[in-house]
Amino acid sequence: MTAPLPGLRLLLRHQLRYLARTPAATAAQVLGTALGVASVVAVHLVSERIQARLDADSVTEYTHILRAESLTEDAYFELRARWRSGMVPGVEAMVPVVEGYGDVEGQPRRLVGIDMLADGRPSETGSEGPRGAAVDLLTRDAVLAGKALGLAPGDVLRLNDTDVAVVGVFGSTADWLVADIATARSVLGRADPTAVWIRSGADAPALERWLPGITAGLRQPSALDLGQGLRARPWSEAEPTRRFALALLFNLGALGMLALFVAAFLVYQSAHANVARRRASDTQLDALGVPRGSLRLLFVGEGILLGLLGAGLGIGAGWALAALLVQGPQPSQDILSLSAVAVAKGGACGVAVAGLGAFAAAVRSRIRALRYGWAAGATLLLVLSVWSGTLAGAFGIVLALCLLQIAVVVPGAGQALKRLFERGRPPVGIVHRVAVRSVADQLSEVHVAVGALSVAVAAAIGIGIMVESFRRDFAGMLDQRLWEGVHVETTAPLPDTAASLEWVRAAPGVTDVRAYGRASVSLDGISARVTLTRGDVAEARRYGYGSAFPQAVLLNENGARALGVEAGASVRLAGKRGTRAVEVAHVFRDYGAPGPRIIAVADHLEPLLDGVAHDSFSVLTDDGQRDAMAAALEERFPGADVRDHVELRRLALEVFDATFEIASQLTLIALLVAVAGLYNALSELQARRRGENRLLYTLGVGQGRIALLSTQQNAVIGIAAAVLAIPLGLAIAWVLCVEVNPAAFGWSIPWTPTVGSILLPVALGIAAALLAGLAPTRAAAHAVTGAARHELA
Amino acid sequence: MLQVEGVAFQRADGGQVRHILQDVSFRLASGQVAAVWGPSGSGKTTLLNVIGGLLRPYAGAIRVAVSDAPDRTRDIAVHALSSAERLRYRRRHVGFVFQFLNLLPTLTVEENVLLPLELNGLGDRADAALGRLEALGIADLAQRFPDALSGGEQQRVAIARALAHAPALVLADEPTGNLDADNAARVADCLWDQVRDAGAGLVLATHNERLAQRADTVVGLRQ
Repeated sequence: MTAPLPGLRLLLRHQLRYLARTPAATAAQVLGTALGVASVVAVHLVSERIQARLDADSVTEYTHILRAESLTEDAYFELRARWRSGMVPGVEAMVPVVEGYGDVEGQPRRLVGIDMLADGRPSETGSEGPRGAAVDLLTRDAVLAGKALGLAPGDVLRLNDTDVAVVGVFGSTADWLVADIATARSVLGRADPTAVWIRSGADAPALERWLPGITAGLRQPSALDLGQGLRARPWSEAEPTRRFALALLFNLGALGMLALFVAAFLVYQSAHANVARRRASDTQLDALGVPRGSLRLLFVGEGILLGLLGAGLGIGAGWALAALLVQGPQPSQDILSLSAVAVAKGGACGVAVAGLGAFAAAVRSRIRALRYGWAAGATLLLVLSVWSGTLAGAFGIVLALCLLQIAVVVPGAGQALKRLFERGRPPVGIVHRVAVRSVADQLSEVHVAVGALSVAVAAAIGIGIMVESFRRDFAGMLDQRLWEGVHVETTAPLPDTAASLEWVRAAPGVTDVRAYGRASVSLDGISARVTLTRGDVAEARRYGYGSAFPQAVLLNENGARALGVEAGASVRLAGKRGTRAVEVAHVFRDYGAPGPRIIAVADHLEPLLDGVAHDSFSVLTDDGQRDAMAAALEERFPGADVRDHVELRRLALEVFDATFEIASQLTLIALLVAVAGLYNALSELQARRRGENRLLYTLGVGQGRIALLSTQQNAVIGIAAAVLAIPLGLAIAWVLCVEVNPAAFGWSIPWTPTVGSILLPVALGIAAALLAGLAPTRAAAHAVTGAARHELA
Repeated sequence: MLQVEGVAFQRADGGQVRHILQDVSFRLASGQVAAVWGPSGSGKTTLLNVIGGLLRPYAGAIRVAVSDAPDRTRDIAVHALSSAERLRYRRRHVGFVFQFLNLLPTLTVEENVLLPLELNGLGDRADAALGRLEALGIADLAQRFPDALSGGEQQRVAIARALAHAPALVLADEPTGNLDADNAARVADCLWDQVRDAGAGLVLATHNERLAQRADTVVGLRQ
């Protein structure tokens, strides 16, 4: 009976000595794995932090908000009693809030007072947002200041004749103050709460913990029925910027997935190269009769061990990189915490993928079959993803395209070039033909590394186009939609609407007042919200339409998708008092809208509707009057939600830019990871080509020219990877703009590639290949003389 | 045309100096063959590398008479050349034939032969160089890549390449070492004939005694 692993002890000794005697190659695997894991951990931590910042800016660890004219302290306590007795299901926590504007040195400032203790959860010292400083806020006359206000802990403000101490700052773009509810009551002179914030539902799903942001497109909370006629609105509806921020986070999550994908290929390539370099000794052991199973086990074990070592280094490096990205180079007390999920995710990527790479190298006779297997699997995934037509399917399309790029497109391009260059004569000198034909070989031999670089460049192109298109369209929409004014939304119909609006029109600095009504209708059987307005050209332009629409309606994209209609179509509109066919004059983008919505003229549709709530209006003012107007409106309509459109626009764009600034840095990380993968592959290739270079040197080709040839090869590899990335990048952008975002949020982003968004990543890709090839090129040129000395032995 | 006078070569090996070549001397005229003969590890390849300018000798002198133009010859003191000068000397005046990895796998037979001409800017000699393929009986293989050739065919291509740019000296390191007896004899005949025909000198490193005995001069090396 033979032992299951005969000669294991000697084989282990052989293996360990081999690793020790080739420290550079061994270190290459460990460092390659470390870099891949570092990028995974960094992307994860940055995404977690951005999510936390968005939450802090929006104060929305709470999911819903209740505003009601009838909301008194007694009403709140009654609601709380019913909730505690189990009569209000689905609510985890509720806190009363007093909001209003206070005066700070003649400037109105929004103050939000929260009953921190009512939540029932312990405060989270060190966490972002108001709850992190709950204990400090409980001190009388203390506030937290939004970071945009430029205040620092220790500052003292004169707020409505009360001195309040700043005990901390929060958020990144917030420009308001947070206090304990008792302080806010005292400063604002209000006893009753103006709103109740509610947290409902379960914790974030497991997928969200592993891929922060990715489920932001899946969560679309609906209104909460609290009984006795009280309905809490989702924050995403009450605060459109929150929903929009979720969209940014979601797209960032998509980028994180791509970064994870590129990193996994780097780890795979590193482990594969480490085993592949031992083919000669492997063949000897095979000839000696060492079972293939024993060799595979040893190689996989080694891959896992080195993967573990690389993962340990990578987790530390990823944390440091993330800290640098989110905190900047200056030392800060704001220490980025390393989450267990990030450690587990990075560790699993390092260890499991390294083991897989080592296994793939160990079963080299089946590599071709493995490649065909990947190609077949990716094709199947693509077909199923296209067929499903779902959000998961859209991601499946991106993943399948990336796999096909590595398994089929890059090696296929290598084979095609090889045939082309072998059959024809490239129009260059003979020496350069060596370089050109070698590139064709290399594209086939190191297709995983070149493919990973290609995917990284494609991701940069895709994300770049999506972000640029998104921002251009979003900014355009904000310009159209948000007039230079203040929007007021009350929780109940305006008391004596005509008199209220007359009071507003008579206020100093007011140039126009536009009233809006809300109602619900059914459009071809699908429920939709209606905003009733004037329907003049000015209003039409807010939605990107150039004409008045007295007899027609404007339909948002969500509605058009749900109904399957386009502009010019006729839909059946049913209200409580009647039904009418109406023409859809225009379909407008509606970033932030959770469902179907139409804009219609009040005189045209109001006769069909019942229960129209005339509860909002926009006030256009002269320059410099908005803040004062907002404060006056808060005073005149207590409990109303008063928004400054200019401020809303600024905040929205700031959130957008801050989020996607990180996105571009993450894209760079993906490119750096690809550089490391290509470095490993090119080093392995140059080692294999040492004989050819030595022959060229013997024939009189100098070291400089050999280095130049090698550099030309690297440049051609970079150009090939980058050029092959362009169609993939355009496809990724198209899927993100036209499939992913509509499926997640109901809105599409116009797919508008620009030369700049393509050329920059392409240039970066070529530079990355040249950078990755610097050291191997130098080593190749040096090795030709080294080989001569070696021959003496 | 080749004078090797008292050449020595040594290298440091683990803190000790290892003498690879000591006081090697011989002379070779144009059209003649010198066989460097000795057991493995005796320094045959090192001597070829020193003559070819790949290595600089520790002591001694190597002079090669080259003809830059008809009726005009000059001596090159190889031992005194700088690294860049040795590269130019090797490229213009030396042809190489090795035991293994003679040809660049990404170039066709024709391109391999034309490579030295391109490196030396001697494109006008292409017809003569390709004509040698005819003489070697491999003209029909001109458009093939090396991996489609047998070992003997590859060595014949290497001979054609070594002589393409009309070098003064051809250095052959075990050119028949990986061939069977019949093929080895045929390749040796080709090498002898072509070198004599080109009027070059041939220095041949071998441990094959029969091959060494065919040479005009035998340089014996001991381990």
